[in-house]
Amino acid sequence: MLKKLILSLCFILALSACKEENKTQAQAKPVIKIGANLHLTGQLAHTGAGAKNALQMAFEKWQKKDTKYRYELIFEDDMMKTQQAAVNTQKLINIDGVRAVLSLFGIVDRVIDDIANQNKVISVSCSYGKSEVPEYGVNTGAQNEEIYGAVVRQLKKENVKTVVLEGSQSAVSFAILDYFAAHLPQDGIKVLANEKHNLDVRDFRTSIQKTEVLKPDYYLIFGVEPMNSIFTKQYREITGKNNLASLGNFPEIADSLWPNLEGLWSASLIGGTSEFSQQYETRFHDRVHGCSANLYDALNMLMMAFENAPVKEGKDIPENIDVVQYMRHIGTYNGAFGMIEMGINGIGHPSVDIVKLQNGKWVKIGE
Amino acid sequence: MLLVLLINILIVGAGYGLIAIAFAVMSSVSPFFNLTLGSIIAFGAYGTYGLTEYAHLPMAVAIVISIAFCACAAALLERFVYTPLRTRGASSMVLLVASLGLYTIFEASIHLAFGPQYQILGGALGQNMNLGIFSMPKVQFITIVADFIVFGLVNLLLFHTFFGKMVRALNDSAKLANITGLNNNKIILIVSMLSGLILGLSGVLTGFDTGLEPTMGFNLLFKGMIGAIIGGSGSLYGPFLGAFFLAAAENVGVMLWASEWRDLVAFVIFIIFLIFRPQGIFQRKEK
Repeated sequence: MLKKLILSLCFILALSACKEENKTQAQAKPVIKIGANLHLTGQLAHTGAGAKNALQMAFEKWQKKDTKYRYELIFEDDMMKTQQAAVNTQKLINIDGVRAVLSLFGIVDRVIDDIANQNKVISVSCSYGKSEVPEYGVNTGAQNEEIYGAVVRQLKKENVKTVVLEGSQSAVSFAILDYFAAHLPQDGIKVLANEKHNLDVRDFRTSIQKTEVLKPDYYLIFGVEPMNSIFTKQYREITGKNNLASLGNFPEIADSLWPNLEGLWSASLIGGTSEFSQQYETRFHDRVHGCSANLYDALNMLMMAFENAPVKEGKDIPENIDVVQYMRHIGTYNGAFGMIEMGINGIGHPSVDIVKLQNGKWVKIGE
Repeated sequence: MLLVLLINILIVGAGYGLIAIAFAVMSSVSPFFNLTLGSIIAFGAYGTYGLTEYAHLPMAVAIVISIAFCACAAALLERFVYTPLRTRGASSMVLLVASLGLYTIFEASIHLAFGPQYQILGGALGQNMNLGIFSMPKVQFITIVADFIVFGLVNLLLFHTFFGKMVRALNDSAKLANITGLNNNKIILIVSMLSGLILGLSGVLTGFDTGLEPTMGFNLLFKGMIGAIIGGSGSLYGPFLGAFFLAAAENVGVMLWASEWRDLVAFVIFIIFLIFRPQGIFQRKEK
């Protein structure tokens, strides 16, 4: 009996020693910290929460792999405020010592880009319509040209001649709507009005009735949620029509509105591949939000770059600039969002499709 | 077009009106900018949403329970937070800061409990109804009717009952009311419940009309407060009509200029009133 007990004890001790050794090995790996500055509270908290979930998914996937380095992911809430984003980024860089900062859209990503660049820290954003980034920057959000191309093809298919543009008072809306306003006439589509609503407005009735007088063939909307949901609901209530399309975020519209919106279409800036959406929805019991898939891909590309970028002699981890260069030279990346063509200037070009609400589901429709 | 504009003003003004009335009644006995009134609005909407979505209660039952909960929540806040602070001689600024802290806690709690995702209360109230020359969702019609009924009932209570006399006495001078034997704290508690009921109703109706989001209370309260200040909070006609005045200014602004001018128009009018007529349009004359 005593012999058995001693043997068991020895076995347990040996096991724990092995475990300790593994732990020590893991701890001995050089540490790479990555920060994520997201809108976790405030009006766009749903986007931040979605991005955080997606980043965690990607991070856990990497943790299961045998990596060269030990990674740590640190989240900060920028409340979609530039001042808060600046404070967070300084903290992430100077106190936490992160090597890269991930961020969402809005003006905050520009602020983060600047601070990160000054400190030679990598800045990876998901910002729509952002056509340039600094030396240490990478962007994975869709570009105006791609969104425009996909939407115009669909408008032409539907023989649309006149449109009204409606959006929110935000940097992203301005960038995209003004791009459309400038380019649609060149494609033979007349822009009758370009209305932008303050972020806290929840009543669009008067604006809808004002523009309805102009008899547009279609409304193109690109607002910060819940503008899209409320605008669509009120448009339906007033006109009973469905001739409106979103330039990016209809799949994010409130579920309870979907039954009334069959046939509505949108540029697909949200969902990502059906495989990613399914994984996400099963795990978080929520639908995918804007930039979730983009940031999932961004973190994957970033960690892939850290793992594969060359390490200079005498150093134990790659230089940030080499990691950025690796990311910029990835070429075509097939990820959660679909295909992203990474440009050597740091600008990613994700493919933009048109999705339509058919039988209660958003499905991609062919060109 | 003019008819459509008038209907929009009526819909928006009625929504603001309910909040303006609740704000005016509450600030007549407890004169500080109580931000937790915004939380009560959100409680009404999210309470109904939670009870129907998670407890699967019938909509009507959920609405009644939520509104009753709002009245209780307002009373509890008054009893356990503001009355003790007031008793210790806290200034309006201290009360405002306390309410800001509570508002932040409540908003974060709603965020954690229901998520940040935008939601809409569904059901029959969201369906359109035909009123002959135009149609509107039932909830908007109910909001207009509710605004007028609440205005009438609160007016009756404040100006034609003994309780109303006590409230007005407290409004005139809290010290004098106390000396004459009135229980100020009890009056404030009952008024809190009344304002909680109105705000809860407003939250439910907003949930059906423009949906639910954790930050919904503050924006609505702010517009209601502007309506009350423009109208003048000395009488109930002030906040009631001030809310329609604000809605008219916003909607005419949108109709005549671009949509982004909406808030600018509202706040320019607000500032003009604060500078040139701080007592509001319908303030009764000081004796």
